[in-house]
Amino acid sequence: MLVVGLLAATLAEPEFVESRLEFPGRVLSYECPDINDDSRGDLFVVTREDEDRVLNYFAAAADGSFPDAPTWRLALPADVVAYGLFEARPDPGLEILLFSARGVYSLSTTKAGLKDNLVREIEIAVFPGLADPDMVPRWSLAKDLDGDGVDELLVTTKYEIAVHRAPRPQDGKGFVRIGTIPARPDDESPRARGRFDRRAEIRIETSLLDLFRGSTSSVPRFEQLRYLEHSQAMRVPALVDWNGDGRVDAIPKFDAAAIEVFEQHENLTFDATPKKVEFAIDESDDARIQLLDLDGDGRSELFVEREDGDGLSRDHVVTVFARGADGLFAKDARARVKLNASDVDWSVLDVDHDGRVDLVARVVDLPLGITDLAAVRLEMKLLVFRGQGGGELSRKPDFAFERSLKPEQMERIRESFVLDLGGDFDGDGINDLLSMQADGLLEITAVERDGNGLRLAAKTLTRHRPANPVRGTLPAELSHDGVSDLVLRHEKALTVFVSRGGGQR
Amino acid sequence: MNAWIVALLVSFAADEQAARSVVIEGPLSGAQHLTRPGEGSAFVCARPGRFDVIAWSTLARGESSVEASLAVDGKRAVAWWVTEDASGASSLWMISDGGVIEMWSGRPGADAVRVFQDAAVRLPDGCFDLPFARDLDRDGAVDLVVPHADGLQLWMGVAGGAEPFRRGPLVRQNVNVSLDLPDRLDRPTTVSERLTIAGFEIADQNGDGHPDLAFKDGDLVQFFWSDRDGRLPESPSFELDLEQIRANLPKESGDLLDTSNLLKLLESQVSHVASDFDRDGHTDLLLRQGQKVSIYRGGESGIDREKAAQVLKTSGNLIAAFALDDNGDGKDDLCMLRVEDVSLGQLLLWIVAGGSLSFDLFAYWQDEPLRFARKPSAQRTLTVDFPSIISIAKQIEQDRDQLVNGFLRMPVSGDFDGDGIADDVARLTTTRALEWYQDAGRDTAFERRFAPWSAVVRRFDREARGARQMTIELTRLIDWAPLPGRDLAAFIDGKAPSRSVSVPRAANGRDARDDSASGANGPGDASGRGDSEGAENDDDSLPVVFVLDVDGDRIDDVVIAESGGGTSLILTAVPSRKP
Repeated sequence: MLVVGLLAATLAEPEFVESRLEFPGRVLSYECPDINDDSRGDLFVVTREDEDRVLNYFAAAADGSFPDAPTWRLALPADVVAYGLFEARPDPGLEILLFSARGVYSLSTTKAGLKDNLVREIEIAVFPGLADPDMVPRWSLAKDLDGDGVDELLVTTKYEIAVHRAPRPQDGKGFVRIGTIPARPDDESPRARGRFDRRAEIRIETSLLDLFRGSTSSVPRFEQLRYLEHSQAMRVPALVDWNGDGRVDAIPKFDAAAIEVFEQHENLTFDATPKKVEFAIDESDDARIQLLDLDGDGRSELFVEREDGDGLSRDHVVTVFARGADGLFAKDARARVKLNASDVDWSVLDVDHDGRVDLVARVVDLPLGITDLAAVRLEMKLLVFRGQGGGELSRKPDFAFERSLKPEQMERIRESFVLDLGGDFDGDGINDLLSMQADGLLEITAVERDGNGLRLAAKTLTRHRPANPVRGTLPAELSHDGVSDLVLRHEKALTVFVSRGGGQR
Repeated sequence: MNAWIVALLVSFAADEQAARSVVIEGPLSGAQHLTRPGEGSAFVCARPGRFDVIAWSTLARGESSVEASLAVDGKRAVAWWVTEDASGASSLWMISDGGVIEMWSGRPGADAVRVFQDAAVRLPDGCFDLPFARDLDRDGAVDLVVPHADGLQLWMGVAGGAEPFRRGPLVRQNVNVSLDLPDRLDRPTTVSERLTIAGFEIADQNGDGHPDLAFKDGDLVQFFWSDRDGRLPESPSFELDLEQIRANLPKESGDLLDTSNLLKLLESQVSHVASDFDRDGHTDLLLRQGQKVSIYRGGESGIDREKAAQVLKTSGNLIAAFALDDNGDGKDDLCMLRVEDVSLGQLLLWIVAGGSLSFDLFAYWQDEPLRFARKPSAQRTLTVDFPSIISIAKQIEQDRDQLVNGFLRMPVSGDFDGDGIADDVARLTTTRALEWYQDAGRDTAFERRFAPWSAVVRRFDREARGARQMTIELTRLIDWAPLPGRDLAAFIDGKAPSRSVSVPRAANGRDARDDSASGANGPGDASGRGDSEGAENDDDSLPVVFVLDVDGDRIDDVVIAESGGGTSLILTAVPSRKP
């Protein structure tokens, strides 16, 4: 049923069309791609219904609404390991890819069912080849590797990562294999041992117990002799343009001391052996390191997260190292942010749409030194440090949202922690803050410019009370009108708000 | 090149226990013990593309030679297991591509013999051990349990029959697939799959002297009870659908938390215990449904679920309902463990300031067969005091090595003195002394099957010394964790070992013939060594002690497996001898 509603209007914000999609089973995942190529984002929802894993496609109507029933629906065959969405055929729009141990298949949502629709695009022994009967993950191994503006599809087998290109008019039918990504089996998986290909590097430290299985041993076993436990893993290198030549390179390993990179030459040809580039960053071994292009110049900075101290009052530190003219990371940090709290979740996001990503910290803190039950509380904060270019970040938060929760206010435990800065709901070019009150009320507060900085608006932009508890929020671009749309996930339903323009853009 | 190094310490002299080491190059993907009556014991190693048999005695002489080898190269999948036949001789069984099942005696020059084929077998790739060939019904013939797409297929061995196997039941069993696919490509990541199939229970449940089987697939429990001839049925004798039972309980919203009592979630728990509570030879059923505990009587043909023999209801937060002989009358009594309410505020306060939590165990004695007292016959209260969880976390970090040792370095039991009773205990100390405690469990029968609740109650009674209430610090709760082997540790705690022998750590790649044997020594002899030479202070890998009969003298021996650094392995075997 289509419901056209107006969220509480406190400013001159746009109208939203509200649709509520109910499912007979649990919502496992959802996304909002433009499947039918009509410039409107559609909904693609994976559900678990009785014993089935079901793909549901809802095509968006011109007015931004969604139909009650799926436009296309498919209960997946039992051997499907994963699904993907990819431009696999010359027809407009995206096809659905199904991955199984026997290959990669494509399906069009313009036809019902599998008959006369399912096409095996790639005959290959896909790894992983076992299907999880309770879920179906999204295959996200797709990337424009050669810089031609079109994504290639990466397919892992047990021994390689094959790169395939969707057919071009001159190719005829079927995907074309155009290369491989240098990779190696996971040498840290103890259960990877025992393979016959001899390429697996095997560690035994954690597999001593697997010797003389069934015998009495000095290590406690809590269950009777297990029948089977079998794991295999394949390492996938980071795929980023390391040298700035517009082509993606493969980085199988990097840490604070060095990086190993297979540089790509032309047409997906890589060096036979990785080049090792050493640098001397003073970071601990357990620091989490990422390559992120923070300033939008096409070259990655080194983004390092680490924690210092023990217990609930720890220093959480992010350090950014920028690349020098020699391509190496400078020893001196370009930016450093340190917060003391129980837990900090760091993310990066271009909040103000200036082409530079900003650092967002979601902080949860349990104040220490309290001995009285009535004084116990959890404190939550959301802090934004704007990217300044060149890998630099604001020294102080550009704005902060803070909330204190008493235990009795956390009945809606999932919703109490919802803080989302992913959508621009008033169309002013700055993302706004979505939060939920302890009683389940959803609020969106505008973020606005404050000189060179940002600040939270004094008034709430809009409020909404969902009919059911919310398990997740997804700001999305469905109507592509410059105003973000919003999908709320419930256990067995989605509520979708699609903007109809009218923002401040 | 990968290399596994196997070093072995064996003495076969009747009056000596000493150390030897040998190096064997790997890699291995597993090892299993082979008993060979009259030929000396051996172990079989799975290597890339082949299986090797190595006699323990050969290694003891430092020759480390492969006695027999079987090539299995070129196969996509090989699942293997070593099983014994009626004569006590063991052989290697394999399932490979196409469900072909072969058996290999492990003798020099022998080929694998094709035994059977089940084309419906589904195996993941690789070479791995799989306990698929076992004599389930104890009729002297090896039976098969092989994975199919829709469950585990049983094939019952037929001794001397025209066909080696007759089709048994196809049973559902808990199969779990876990996938890991990267969601971003800007950092090195992993694609992985993990398949686990739970084990199943083999025990005489209906009192006919023949083994019965119990399988669990998620919330579906299937019992296969043998008939008087020991023949297992093709369909379950009875089933228990715990999910269906759970669906009949009052539902709690998964989105709303009861902040006044976080443990209210326990009200939706469903669990079962199948055991012969009244010792009439038939398994009975204890079914816990939220706050209600029901007892169902078992007979020859199954358990009558139509009418419960008794139903008890409880209030509060019921953690578990189980059966154990609380009053020592030989019959199981009904026990219920409850815990006080915990609010979210309390939990947060505990984190920063500490507090206490009380557990109550109520025992309802079995007055008549399957009739339990309606009011608690006995009560024990354990109060756990704890400082702030922050300080505990720091303490645990500081004591990590000691805690890991406490969990992973358990004593082992076996018949180490050759008297035919597995009531002796062996323990490898942190100073690398292997200690034996002869007849340590003679007065207290070791439980063949680990019963965690029983272990906790015994611990309480030992420590409370007759009192019904006691308080402990949270850090001591780790000692209370019911682990297999912990009872053995309690038996030998404070006692002097009957004898001990030093187990020097073999150097990687060289023979460590540092014999440091001692005869009937006191505790200060080997176990008192505190020098760094013998201590394990430079290796993250804890040794694992196995109980095997390595010299074929029908007396249990000790084999110690530990990492030799990198990818190497050190195996140490220490034979037992009659005192």
